[in-house]
Amino acid sequence: MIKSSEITQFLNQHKLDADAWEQILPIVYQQLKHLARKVKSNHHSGQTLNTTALVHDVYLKIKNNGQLNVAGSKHFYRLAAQAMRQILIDAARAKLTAKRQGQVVEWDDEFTITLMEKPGTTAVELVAIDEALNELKTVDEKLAHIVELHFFAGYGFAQIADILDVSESTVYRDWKKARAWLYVQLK
Amino acid sequence: MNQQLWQQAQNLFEQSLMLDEFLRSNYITSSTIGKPELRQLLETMMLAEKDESFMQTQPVVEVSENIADEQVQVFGHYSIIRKVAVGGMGRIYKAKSNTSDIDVFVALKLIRKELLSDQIALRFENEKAVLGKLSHHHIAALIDAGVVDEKPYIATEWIDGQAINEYVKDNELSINQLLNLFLQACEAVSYAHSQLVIHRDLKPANILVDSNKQVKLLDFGIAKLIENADGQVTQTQVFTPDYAAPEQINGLACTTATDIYALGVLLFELLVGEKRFGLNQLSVAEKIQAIAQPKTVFASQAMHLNQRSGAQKVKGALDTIINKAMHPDPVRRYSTVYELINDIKQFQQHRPINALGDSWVYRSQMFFKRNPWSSLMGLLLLVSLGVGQLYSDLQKQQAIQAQQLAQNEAEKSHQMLKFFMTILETASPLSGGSTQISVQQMFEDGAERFNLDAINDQAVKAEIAGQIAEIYGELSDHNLKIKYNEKALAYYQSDLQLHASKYLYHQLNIAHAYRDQDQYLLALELLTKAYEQVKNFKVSQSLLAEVMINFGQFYTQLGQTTEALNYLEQAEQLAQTINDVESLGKVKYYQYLILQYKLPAEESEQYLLQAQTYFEQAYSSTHPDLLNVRNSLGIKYKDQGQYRKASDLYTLLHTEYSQLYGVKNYDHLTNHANVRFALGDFEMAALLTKESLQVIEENKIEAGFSAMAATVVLARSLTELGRYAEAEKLWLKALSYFKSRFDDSHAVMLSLRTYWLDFLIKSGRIEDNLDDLNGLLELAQKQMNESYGTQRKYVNTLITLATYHWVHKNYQLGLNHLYTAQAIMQEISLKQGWVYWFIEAGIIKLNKNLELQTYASESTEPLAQLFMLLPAEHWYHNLFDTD
Repeated sequence: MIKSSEITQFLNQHKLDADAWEQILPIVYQQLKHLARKVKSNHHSGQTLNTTALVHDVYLKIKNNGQLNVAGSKHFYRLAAQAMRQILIDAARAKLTAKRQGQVVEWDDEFTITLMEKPGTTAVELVAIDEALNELKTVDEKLAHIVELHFFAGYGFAQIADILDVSESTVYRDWKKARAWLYVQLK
Repeated sequence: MNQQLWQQAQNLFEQSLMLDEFLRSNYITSSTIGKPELRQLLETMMLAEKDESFMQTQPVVEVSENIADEQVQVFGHYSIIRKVAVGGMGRIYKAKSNTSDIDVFVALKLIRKELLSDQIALRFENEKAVLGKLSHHHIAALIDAGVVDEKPYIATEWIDGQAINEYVKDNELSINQLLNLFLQACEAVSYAHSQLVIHRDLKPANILVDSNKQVKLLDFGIAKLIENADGQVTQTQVFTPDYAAPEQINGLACTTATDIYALGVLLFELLVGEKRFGLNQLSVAEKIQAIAQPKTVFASQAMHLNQRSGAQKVKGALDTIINKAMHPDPVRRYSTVYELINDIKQFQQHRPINALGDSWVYRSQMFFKRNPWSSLMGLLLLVSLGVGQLYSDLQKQQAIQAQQLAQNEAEKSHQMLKFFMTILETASPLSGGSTQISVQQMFEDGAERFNLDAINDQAVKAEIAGQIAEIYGELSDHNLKIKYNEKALAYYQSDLQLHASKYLYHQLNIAHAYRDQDQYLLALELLTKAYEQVKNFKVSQSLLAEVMINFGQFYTQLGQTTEALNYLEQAEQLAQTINDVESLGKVKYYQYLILQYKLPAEESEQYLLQAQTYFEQAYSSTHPDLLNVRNSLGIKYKDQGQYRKASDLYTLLHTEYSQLYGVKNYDHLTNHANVRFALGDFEMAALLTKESLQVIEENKIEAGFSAMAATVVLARSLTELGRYAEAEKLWLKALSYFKSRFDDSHAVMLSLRTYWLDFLIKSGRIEDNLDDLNGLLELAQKQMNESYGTQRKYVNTLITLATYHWVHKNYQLGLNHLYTAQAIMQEISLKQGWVYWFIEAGIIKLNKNLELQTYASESTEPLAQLFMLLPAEHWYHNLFDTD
């Protein structure tokens, strides 16, 4: 088990193997959730949380523990996107469960993360997108990554290009392809 | 869907995306003939393009509290009246104290338990003690704090008021009224800082205006109360992005500078009625970006855009004040709220502001130079400028226990005070010391008696050593400046990564000490080494820019201009990324110093004008850097023959310089004299040089070259005025000074020898100096071909030679020289001054003397112009009349 103080060292490795990835992901996931709660406690109630801002905060927090190198930053943003997807899907599933059972599932005693349902991002749609995305991953892993980074974590195309070391136009094209693929699966 | 089908589909999809919608369907139809499955897939994919709702918005979550808002009626010894707000910290109630017969209303804050860490009880008690001591007319007093049923609470004075920004909006205030309100807030913050309390969360919601139009600040130091026990600041706890300083966004520690930044933001918002950087329109992520990469704000422009009145009044000084308070680098902000208050007051009284941290350095340096014996006064000045605040801090022993930061600060002020007390004792007549002790001596003795090594805390010791080093720097004691900087370095080099900026900063100071002793090579080597050591660590960008500028300066002095320009370019790039206008101004100025003789005048002038613009943004009108640029610009105008413009500039410069130093600058006076000389105003030129020499003498300044430069201009002026006896003494003095320092072919000597011959001709003492003159002519021609700016010297020599021939009635030879001079004057487009009109009039006159018909001009204008400029009894009257 990695301690959170060691996280920068792990992230800074040139290549992150699947094992390390799996160890770090839960930490980032926990930190994002933890932070969501803290952000909340500093704002008035009813305020929605922009996932990008959350990710940035966790980034700063990790960076404060030690220097993140270029590779480390990129690894982090990819991990955070994955974690963010997880948080959103958890919230979506919770909402669906609640609708079925008539209650909201809390993730700790005092706070609840609730999905704000809007056209295009309802709980039903999110869960469906998530499942289709798992399938896309087996067909074209790169496309699936881009969906995670852009749709779930809200990164801009330029930032994604930077994280994945490809051109911005490639990211833009791949996003269009991925969206079309998901559309075919879901409609 | 199989892999192969998807591969085909995505290739076609990609192609068709690049086509117009109309061509698209044709393309899809034609490329999928006989493949219905592929066609259908592609058509569905195209539908995704048209569906604008599908996955186009990012999913958003909401975090909500689960706590039911149970109705509290009584809490401890308070009766709840009503709930006021539910905030991030907890809930706030208006409540009434039950312990008093009279109604005492309080704002009762119940703090969320989960915000408090384990050691909360202890910290809570400490903080309570510190906050309880805050007693100020503009601060809502802490009445009580404690824990009831494991629920921590804080009770503060109840203020019936309105948030300051709303108050300003509702009551159409004049700028002056608005500033008076703002000053009340500043005074409260200044007071709190003197008690070692930082607010950390200053924003309009925490600054109320009560019914008596008095400002009251709420929640002092409360943010601190809920901070992590280890003192580490976490992002989100103090995250009010709209008012946060860059260092808060970057997760660094809050200092008094953080409050000063927030005050700058507040002033901007009050004036403009809108948030800085247009934050209103931005998402949280964009806000973070905007604040972390700050740019210069111009409240006046924003006011103009918002159609608020008074923009014109705010433009300039208030813009400068706001930017100084909101400087991205905490070190470059006002170092105390007191300075901010002072500048606002200066502004209100239409006096020059000091929105520059280092002006007092120059002021005090000049003070010491002017008053070498009034040591005690000098010290008091220093104390009042920088250390006064520390004295009151020291009395707050309770605060020392409060927390680590305060402990450090208190220790620092304590040690600093001790240092100054030691010095004062040295200076005191009671200690048996002589009253005739110089400031320098006093510091040396004091510093020697003060036992720096007795300080246990190494960080504090390094800090104090750094401070002492700065004082020595101000006293121009280079050796001690180096010694104390090295003491500070001893600590910082123990962990280069952690202290990279501090390390580099002190090495830079040492390099400056060498620079100030003209040891540029040593300075360069030292700084290069230091830079190499820390370049892989995180160093403040503006410090890096400064280091690059220094490299540029050192290389310039060492004659390696290519290297110098290289570094200056790097500095420029760095400074541009952080919009550091001060550094940008320096870059432009140093580039000018290198390029002034390599580029044509109008091109190099651009560098100066840019430097001036940057400095005007960065500083008030009296910063030394800005004055230097203005002086160079004056010289530039003079060289371009724009004498009136140059003269006006110098008149302004004298005023600005006197405001800063209390005395005029001798070099500026000499330059001004040169300009008046060119205008034929020899009387004024003589007066200005005499003033210059007087300044040098009265201030006991060792200004060898400057004094001699002034002497030469005086001697020239007296020559033109026909006061030959006075002039001769000065010429002999100047000749002996320069001859011992420069060889005969040096540019300085060329001018001087020409002037000397000119004197001999005009005073009627010329004998057979023709060889001498011809030698000078060759030399002048050679130098002119080598660099810009020396053409004028050549013209001087030509005129002297022409005059010589004219006097000896060799008109043709004289005319030839005047024609050459005329050509040069045309080339450098110089059409002003008596020299110009002398050439023009001389050519006409000599043509007449030679009875040459080829020269058609009968114009009398040049002669009229010449005698309009020259004094009535000038020597040239004879020359033009007697032939």
